[in-house]
Amino acid sequence: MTQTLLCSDHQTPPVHLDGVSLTEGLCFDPSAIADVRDETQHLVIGIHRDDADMVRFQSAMRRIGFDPLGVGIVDMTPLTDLQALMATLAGAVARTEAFPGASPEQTKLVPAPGISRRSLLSAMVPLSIGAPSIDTRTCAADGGCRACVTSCPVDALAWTGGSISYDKAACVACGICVTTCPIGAVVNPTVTYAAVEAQIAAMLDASAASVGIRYICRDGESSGGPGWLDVYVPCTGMLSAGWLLAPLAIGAVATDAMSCSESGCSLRNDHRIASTLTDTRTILDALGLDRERVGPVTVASLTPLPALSADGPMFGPSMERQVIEYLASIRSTNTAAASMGSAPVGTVSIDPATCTACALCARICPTNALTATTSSEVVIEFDPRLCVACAQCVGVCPEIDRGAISMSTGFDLADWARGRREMRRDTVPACESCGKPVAPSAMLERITAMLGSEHAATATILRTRCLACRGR
Amino acid sequence: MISADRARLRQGSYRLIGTGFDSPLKRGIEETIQSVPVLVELGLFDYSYAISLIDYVEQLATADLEDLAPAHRAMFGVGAGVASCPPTESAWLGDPHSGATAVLLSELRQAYLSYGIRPRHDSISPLDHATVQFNVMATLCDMERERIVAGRSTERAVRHQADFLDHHLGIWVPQLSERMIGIDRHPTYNALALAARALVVHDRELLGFQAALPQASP
Repeated sequence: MTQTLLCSDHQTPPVHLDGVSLTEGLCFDPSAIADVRDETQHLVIGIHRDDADMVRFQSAMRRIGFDPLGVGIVDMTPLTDLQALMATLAGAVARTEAFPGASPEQTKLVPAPGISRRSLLSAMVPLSIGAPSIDTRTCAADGGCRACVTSCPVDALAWTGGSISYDKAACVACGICVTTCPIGAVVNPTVTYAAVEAQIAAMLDASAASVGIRYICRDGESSGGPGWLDVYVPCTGMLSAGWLLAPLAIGAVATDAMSCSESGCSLRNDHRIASTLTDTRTILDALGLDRERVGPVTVASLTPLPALSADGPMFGPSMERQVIEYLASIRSTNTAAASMGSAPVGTVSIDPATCTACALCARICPTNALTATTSSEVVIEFDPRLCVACAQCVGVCPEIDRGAISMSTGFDLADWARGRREMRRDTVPACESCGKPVAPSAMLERITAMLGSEHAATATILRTRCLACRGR
Repeated sequence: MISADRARLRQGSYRLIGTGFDSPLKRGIEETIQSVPVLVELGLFDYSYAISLIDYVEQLATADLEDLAPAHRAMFGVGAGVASCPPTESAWLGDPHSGATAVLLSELRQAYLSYGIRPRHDSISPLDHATVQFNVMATLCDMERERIVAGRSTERAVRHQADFLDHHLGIWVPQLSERMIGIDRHPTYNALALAARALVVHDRELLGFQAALPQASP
């Protein structure tokens, strides 16, 4: 059971929801949350942000056995409209109920706002926020993937010897690594795909009129205007086009994301947010849908897109493909295509003339968009539906200077429909000594050419013997 | 909260968890339960490990000592029929067949001496035993508290704590905790595993957090 406690100060509109209690002066006296009912499993608290001391609130939550990271906090200050308040509370309840629990490693300490010179003389009590952790069981770093490392704006992640190391002190918990990880191995328990989808779906269900979904960051304050509902994420720089498209797919009429300049946040991710908004509009254009649904629009004039039954959740790792396919099915189109700046959908091209078929690209690909099989031949295949444009295949290619591989960001539904296709095939000679495969012929020719006639004997050994038999 | 209270809270928390790894005795359990109100008074709930610690004490309070003792032997004992879950650092960070245990024990002895501590130990609770190491941290926290009360610099005491967490307790206790939970021998020991890990992970971060704060000028 979920209980909701709302501070009744500042003329809170009367709310009629099961499990909602109004509490006078809650913001100033968090001890009132000690009165939650015994059977309560989840807790949502509505407070007025400027009045509340979050350190004291977190302490009060722990006192009654609740992990503060799993308690839904709603800032009621901007929610003067009853409909918006009801929908926001419904969303907070759904998100709270979908909280997966946090391990000690997924909690990060940050200074509480309002540090005074006097407070430095006493032991400062920090605030706890959600931090990412890497699920080593599913992480593809052992295959070379380092998508999270290259995306981290503060160098808190590093790839070393097939695993990712994480510097929690350097981390700003922006969530960019969470959305960049193509397989969902980086998890911040306070912003999971399932919880955000549950929140948005509940908000839309609870709204009688058309609403837009606006992502705002933890430093941001609501300013979306009538018809807009806020969804908190650690930083809007973490959003990709799929995050903005998914609300449209599940019933929102418009979608938007707060910029860093609006929130006054020092992370300065405006370029990322602008790029994501542009990509989202480009996708809508390509699909023949109204691009004006993205950004600060007047919500009342818009109607939701037609609803179809979706195969599964819209939110998830590498969610762009499923959202684009869903929106395309609304338009009954299978020929849309678009080039984009940064959206995580892409297409890889391999030049057979310069590719040596070493298959490093397939080994590093975290989503198996590129795969390779080796026996008497090496075959490299590519499925554009699985490509998330992480470009790690390009980065790892030893023949990149000769243009062996390239990647373009964008999608082509007709190309997706073709499915997996062969990109490169080459013979692999057998070892004269043991019969095992030596290396792809193109690679051996390339090595022979590089060695030149001066090292012809060495080249002959390399071509005819596998690594294990060369020294014998 | 004043700094001396926080040092005392951390001291008490380490002592409480350290006792949990020792053989369960009625008196020890009673003392553990009685210490909780004091920790709460000192501000326990201001810190994220509070929930795990309280959960452990609640499990301990409801556990039957006759179940707990065999569970302790089965979890941490040595010999046939016991789970491989030794509460000693050398079992996690050193290969016992390569002489690494001796090297580690020597390093630990040196570290304790450099902190100005000569911990009690024996064959049952060697220098690298969880109980000894949690008590070393408790003593280091107490040294910090004494210095705060005396108006002296705590820099050295805090540095020793960070050093010990970074090189010893903070490295192997999360691994031990994971194994204990995996073995799932008794709910009290599952709760102890979580509480020990939560305390160590949190405290390691807290020390880093404190160090990064701007210092007030006199």
